[in-house]
Amino acid sequence: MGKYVLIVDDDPDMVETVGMMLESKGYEVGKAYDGVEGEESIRKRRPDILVLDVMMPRKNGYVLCAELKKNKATRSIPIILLTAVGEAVPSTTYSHADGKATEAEDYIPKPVDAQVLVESIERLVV
Amino acid sequence: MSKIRLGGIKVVEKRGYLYSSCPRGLDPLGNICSVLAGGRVNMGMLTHVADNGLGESITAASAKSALCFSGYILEAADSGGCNTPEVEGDVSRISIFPHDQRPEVTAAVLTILGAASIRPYGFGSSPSAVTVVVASSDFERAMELFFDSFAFPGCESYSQWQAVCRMDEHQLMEVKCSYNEHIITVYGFTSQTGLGLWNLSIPVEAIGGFGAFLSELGELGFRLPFLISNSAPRERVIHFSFALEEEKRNKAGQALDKYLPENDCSRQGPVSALFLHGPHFGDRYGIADAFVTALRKGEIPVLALSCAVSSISAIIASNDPHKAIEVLNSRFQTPGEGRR
Repeated sequence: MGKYVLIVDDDPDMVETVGMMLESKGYEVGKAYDGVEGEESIRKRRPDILVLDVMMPRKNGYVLCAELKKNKATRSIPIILLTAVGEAVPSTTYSHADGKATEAEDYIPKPVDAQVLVESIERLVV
Repeated sequence: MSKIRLGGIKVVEKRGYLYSSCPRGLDPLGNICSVLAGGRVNMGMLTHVADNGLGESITAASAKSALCFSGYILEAADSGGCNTPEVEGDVSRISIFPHDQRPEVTAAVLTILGAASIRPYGFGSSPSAVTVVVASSDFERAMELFFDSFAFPGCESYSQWQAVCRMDEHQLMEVKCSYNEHIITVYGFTSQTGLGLWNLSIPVEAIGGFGAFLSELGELGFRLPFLISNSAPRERVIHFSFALEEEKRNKAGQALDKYLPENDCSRQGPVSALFLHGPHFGDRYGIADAFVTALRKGEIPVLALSCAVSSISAIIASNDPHKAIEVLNSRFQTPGEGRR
């Protein structure tokens, strides 16, 4: 069985697409559709790595990332933040600076390059 | 009856809805897409069928308000040939996911709407989600019924969803965004071959029977990668277009005749499905226009199309999608292209 990657994103098509990409590379994929559900999924089964969207209802990715990094039990789970914020999206209030301020291990802008994501996962999951 | 467990539900309330039909061959799709793209209007949903089996081409769209469609309505009035577009000023879209191509998910939606006499204006599908458009006056009742038939993590009832899971308008606006991009970047394209496209028109009152048919398809192990429906606001007829595995067409036909005898169903196959994976289809204006224009220039006929959630699904006449994907790759950028 491959490493277990949990994808948390409120865009179901995005979860489907990234899930397919990772499953084709041999990863086992878990899916959650908002920050709270992601948190519950982590409690039920600890992922080897977390791929986390930023803009989500109930609990956004920055908040969930910060909480996981504060918690001794979950601190060591590598987190890749995935989001469409930045130069291409001028109207959002989220920024790359906010992302870099979290303790996430990597920060990849959407739409994600499958190869870049897989390389990041391989680098972080040892 | 046990609930179907799904990943989530998303709603967009109080939106406008446009229904436009033309005689086959006078396609409203290109016009709608170009006028709305020119007006920088984001479409949360778009469905199209080139021929509904009754000689009509139908395109329906949902956007922020009915006013978003005024440019197209003026143009349609000028150009003639098509029927006068119809607009509904207050609809809501409900999307549930993931459907995993299981017909029973759409079947359950049709069954509950049919039993409650809630008329769906339209259905759309994406690779992960089923979207239904209902009048906003039916929204609350529809949501209660959805929570009776489906189980969603974190929100067990409609009242809980209202209290905990509902995104407020401010949050929605924050998530909505528009991209400054010269070349549209998307995740990529996938395809599915060996399909048949079925077209069927039924009275709105018969949607429960259509739901029972889809439910039986689920029991028979069918996959449902594509389904749309359109209905003129002032008519009581609903048109469905859906794709099924072509090699199982006889079995599907028998099931359809069982639940909807004397139907006017037509079928075309083998055809293929193309999927453009987002992100953010609904809040990036111009993506549908770029998609449709690229296929038209490449002389790839689109038989049916669904833009919902963050993706575009299209049924094309050929069972070989390679040329279409090549055409789309020349218009859209996919991540990693610059690197290769």
